[in-house]
Amino acid sequence: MSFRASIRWIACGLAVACCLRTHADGGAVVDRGRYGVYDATIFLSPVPPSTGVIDFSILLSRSGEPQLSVPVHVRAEGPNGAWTEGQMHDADSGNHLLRACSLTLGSSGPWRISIQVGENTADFRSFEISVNPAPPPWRASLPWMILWIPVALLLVAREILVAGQRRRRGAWDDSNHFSATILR
Amino acid sequence: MVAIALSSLLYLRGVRGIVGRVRGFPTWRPKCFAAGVTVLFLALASPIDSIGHMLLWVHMVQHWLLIMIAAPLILLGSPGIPMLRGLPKVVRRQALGPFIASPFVRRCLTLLLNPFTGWMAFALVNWIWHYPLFYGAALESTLVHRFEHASFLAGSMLFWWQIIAPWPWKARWADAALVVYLLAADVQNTIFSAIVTFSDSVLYSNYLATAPALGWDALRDQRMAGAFMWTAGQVVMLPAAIFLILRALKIVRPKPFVARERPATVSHLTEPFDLLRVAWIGSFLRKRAARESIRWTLALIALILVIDGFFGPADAPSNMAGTLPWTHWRGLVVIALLFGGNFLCMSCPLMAPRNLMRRWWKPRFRWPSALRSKWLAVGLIAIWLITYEAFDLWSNPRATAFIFVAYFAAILMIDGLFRGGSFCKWVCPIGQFHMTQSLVSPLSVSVRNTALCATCIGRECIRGSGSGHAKSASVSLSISVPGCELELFQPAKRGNLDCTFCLDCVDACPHDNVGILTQSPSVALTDRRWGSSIGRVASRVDVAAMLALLSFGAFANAAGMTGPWLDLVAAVTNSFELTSTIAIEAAMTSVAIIVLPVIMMSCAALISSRICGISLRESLCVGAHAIVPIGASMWCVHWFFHLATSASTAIPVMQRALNDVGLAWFGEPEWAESCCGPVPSWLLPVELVLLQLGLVVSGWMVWRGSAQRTGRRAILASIPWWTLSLILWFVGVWIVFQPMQMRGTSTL
Ligand code: SF4
Ligand code: SF4
Repeated sequence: MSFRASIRWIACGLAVACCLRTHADGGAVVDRGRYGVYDATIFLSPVPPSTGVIDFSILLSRSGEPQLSVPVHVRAEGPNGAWTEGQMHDADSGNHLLRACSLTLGSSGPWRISIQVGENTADFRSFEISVNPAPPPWRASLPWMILWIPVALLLVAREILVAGQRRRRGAWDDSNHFSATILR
Repeated sequence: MVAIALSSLLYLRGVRGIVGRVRGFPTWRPKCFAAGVTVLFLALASPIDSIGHMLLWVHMVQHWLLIMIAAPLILLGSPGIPMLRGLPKVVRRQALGPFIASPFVRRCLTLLLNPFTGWMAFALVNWIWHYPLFYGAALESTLVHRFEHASFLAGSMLFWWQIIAPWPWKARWADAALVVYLLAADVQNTIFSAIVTFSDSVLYSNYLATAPALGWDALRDQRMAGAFMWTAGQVVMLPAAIFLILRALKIVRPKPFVARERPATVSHLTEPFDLLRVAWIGSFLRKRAARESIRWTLALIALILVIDGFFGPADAPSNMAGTLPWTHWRGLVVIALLFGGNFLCMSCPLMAPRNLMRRWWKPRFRWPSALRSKWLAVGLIAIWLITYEAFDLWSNPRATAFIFVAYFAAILMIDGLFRGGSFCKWVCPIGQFHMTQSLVSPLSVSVRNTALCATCIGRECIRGSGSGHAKSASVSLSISVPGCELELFQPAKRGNLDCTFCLDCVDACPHDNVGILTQSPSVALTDRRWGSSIGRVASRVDVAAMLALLSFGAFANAAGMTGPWLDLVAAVTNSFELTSTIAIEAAMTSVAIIVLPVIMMSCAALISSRICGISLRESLCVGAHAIVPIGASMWCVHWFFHLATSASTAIPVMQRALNDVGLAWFGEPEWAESCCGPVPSWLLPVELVLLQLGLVVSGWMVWRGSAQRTGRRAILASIPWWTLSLILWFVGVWIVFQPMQMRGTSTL
């Protein structure tokens, strides 16, 4: 197989995989039960919830069959009379089995979440979630801020190794090494 | 996703030249690698991953794909050597070389690639992650879930390594022993599967809620998962064991290797990349007329901006002069510098009329000796940075247009009077910016073969030649192709400082010996050799001052658009009861780009020189050169932020301008587009990574510069400059977390 053929193989593989790509929404199950004739499982992310944007997802089924066209309305009532609401959409969910919507919960404390499934206003359930104060924005980005530390440590390790090799051989030289062809 | 794409790219680059041509690397290996990567992708980013959150058996299918299919297939592709070869040469040799050659690292690898380690890793990962506590944690947190998958893949690779022994490693154990190794793993898999299958209770409570929603009873789902793990494990392990037995009995033998006709080639790995040898782009750039056409196109655009700036609306977001240069051009500048080189000077619109003028008008004077340093440029850069902040140039299309006109007038006047590229080399603050930042760029105009230059008599690259690409060394008396106007002699050219990428030297060299080659980014910052026309740049105080000014300027310029800075300006203005913020902005910017750098750099240089006994000047030069990368990363972060958040602002202003001249084809301006869009979620991580890249490279430059001058005391000499780099990095991180003024956008 030629080099071009290798490219074709890998590109085809990745293209097929990309077509099938979808996200998992993840998150924790916060409620499960019957809403009229439907069985529903509610997921919430992030876990634990903190002030800011919260993703609610619902897995709705009837006799084990996922229901993707039934309207689902979410209302969140927080401390001090704050409230917000939204409609769940397929488009908000990366997972094709779920429907989702994002609500901004502006304050910390207990929030009562009411979810109404279908047009019948009687088919709703409520549950309570406790929303923590949001961590400072840098905390969420911490993993992106400490990447330089391992790199710096690797550079230090490299210097130590080079110094050791210089002491032994006079100068760093890969020419007498089995992997010389690889390195060059 | 990014990791898979990067690994595939490295593999492809490294496999070239060895596939089918080296014993041990037959043609089926890349196919296996492609299949492995595809399965990995399917397992991690397909509906399997989504549904695995709701059904245990689907999650087990995902784990099976990872550990039993993807891992062995990838190893059959023998990715180790190709991926090492696929790395850039500098990384391969300079960064990884010492590790690969180190006996200690080799001992660690030997330990890691031991059959006992492989078996234990495989079993432990399996048992630990399927323990309900950890399994639940992985289901609830994306980060833990990713870590779980990474450890599954790593553990299984260590396990399969022993059996597959990817080229060029040899299997540690004989085939018969490996059969026992494999069957022992199968037994532990059977025990685990049996526990899951025959358990009377649901082990993973998360599925109690989700499985019924998909029509599955949680316990039935769990039994299905156990049965799947049991049988699917056997489906892979038993044939592998049978194959090993057959090989041990010599019933199957490897096919004899038949090499392809052409021998293994590594030229694409050993020779530096040369942009001028790339099809289309290379031949385009080599044409003088093509380069000139780019300049004229940009000159025409500049003319349109000037007209719109003077006669269009005064509101910046509605005017092309208020958006295109400040948002789009600057964003493209940093991208070009980061991934290429100084292509901005190459395409400079000012050069078009200037070159036209030079056809008929030959300047008579030489640039005065007293001004042959960077001090004039330092002053102009400082004035530029202060004026930009004080007069909010970005919000004033008239001022922008005026600057364009002044710039054109200045180059025509200076290059009309003085010979060579005097304006570019000694005056232009924007050119100095490009040249300085291109010190960290990956591409540089340099000679392909230095040995050839040693025998060159004509030295046309600096003197000029009689014809464009004449391949003889004969020099015509009338010079029709100019040599380097910036007085850079190619064989002694160091890095990109003072190089405008005009490619005159490419045209002039009769031996076709100049290209746009890859350089180790930033290495020119610690080059202490004498350089043509620039001398020993590592010891020049004027250059050090320019580098420090531009590096601190990056942070001052970015800080100037943050909420706290603007609040401070307002507070100080109010406290002095002033009606305009101009004086305060100018004073604060001066402090940030002149006073603070002088204090901080002097302190660091003083401490460093005292500790190590080098001169203050030397120490200052080390620091000023070393902070260029962190400064460059801040410029990138700042300007790329504007481009990423406000790219769409170009659409309505262009629609408006076309409408103004009666061309309504593109419709009425969509002013909604001129509001800045939401900040994309990927931008902050990209900004943070860029800043860290700058910090690491700066730290490395400090070390190299200090080691060159102080030898054993390099660590002590570096500490003050590392501290300064860290302070700048903290400032950069602080800036990216601040609320930003969205410049060049409307608040519609
Ligand atoms: S670059 Fe060309 S013209 Fe210049 S010295 Fe080398 S061979 Fe001669
Ligand atoms: S002629 Fe001089 S300035 Fe132009 S590309 Fe060559 S070295 Fe650079």
